[in-house]
Amino acid sequence: MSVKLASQQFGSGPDVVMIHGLGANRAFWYPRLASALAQTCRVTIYDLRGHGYSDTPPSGYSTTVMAQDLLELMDERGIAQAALVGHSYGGAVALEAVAAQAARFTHLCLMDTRIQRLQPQLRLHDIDALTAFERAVAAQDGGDWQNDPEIGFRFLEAAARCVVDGIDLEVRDAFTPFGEGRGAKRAARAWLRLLDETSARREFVTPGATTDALRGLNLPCLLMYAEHSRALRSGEQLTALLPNTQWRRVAGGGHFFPVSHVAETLTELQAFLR
Amino acid sequence: MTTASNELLQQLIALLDEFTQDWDREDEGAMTRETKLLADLGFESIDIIQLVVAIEEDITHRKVAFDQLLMNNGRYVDDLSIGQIADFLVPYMSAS
Repeated sequence: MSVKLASQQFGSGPDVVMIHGLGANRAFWYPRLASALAQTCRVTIYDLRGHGYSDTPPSGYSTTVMAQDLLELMDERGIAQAALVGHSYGGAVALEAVAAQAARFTHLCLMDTRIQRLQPQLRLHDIDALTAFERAVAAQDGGDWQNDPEIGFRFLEAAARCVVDGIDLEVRDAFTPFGEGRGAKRAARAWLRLLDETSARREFVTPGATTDALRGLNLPCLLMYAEHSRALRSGEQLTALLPNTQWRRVAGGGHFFPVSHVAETLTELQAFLR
Repeated sequence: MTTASNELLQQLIALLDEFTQDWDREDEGAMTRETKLLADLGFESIDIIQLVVAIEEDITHRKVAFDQLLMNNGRYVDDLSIGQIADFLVPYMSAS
């Protein structure tokens, strides 16, 4: 394939491919979710282009192009048909792949995914309160968070700059982007390079499949959204558009609930894939 | 220490030298059996699972049940020394 993607497979059984969100990598799913699913499935995890140990080409960061990466990876790994599980932007990539080649997918699970086509802006006031860590990052950043139409990207970039500058914010959420250890600086630097040296920043906000195309997707879909989710509008609109959805709210969960609420996430996923 | 473990240790150190060559390592001393992945080399979760891939491709040439080494009760172990990995890999080499 044109871009080399780092990937791993575990277990045996029906195929499941798991797709992480922006600024993360395939370790987001491992060990707990991927290893547990691998008891009954063949699980493939991979790093999106520009992330982890995958290549970082100068362009190709829209969900549409990344969905093509996924389809090529499936060809390379000999996966004829799979269930897809995507968190955040990884869910948007999964939805695009299904829209492109629906016959190759048996199930679709989206976790706290914002769909650009259905929710063109992600605003601070889309939920009531910032977490303690978000408040600390916002204070350090000092910018106009109230009026930023892409608050998710703003948060990730500001958090990365704190890590690179060695600023310890002294508060933590259940999941801290870029990690905690010395390796966190490498991950945060990689994210800033991606924003500064590629066309990713522009391409991340490119809308994908049309609502008409989405309306025709009739595979089983599990839509899991956090109680404190800014992407809720996307989930609600997907529920209205897609004919075969199950809707779950993760009580007490924030955007990174697959890590903070792993037992509940796993139970839902196992029931859905059974 | 068995000969097999010491041979594996040398292979692992060569692999890790290459693996971390672009990193800004604070500890630039030579790696030993006691060198730890997180504390001494600055590994993150993603680096550990990528190292697993590299070990399977370059050293064992087959799948290794690394979950037994990396995880304890569903959580990553706090850290791993290169010597621990070498000892864990010995049965994979003698059985191949």
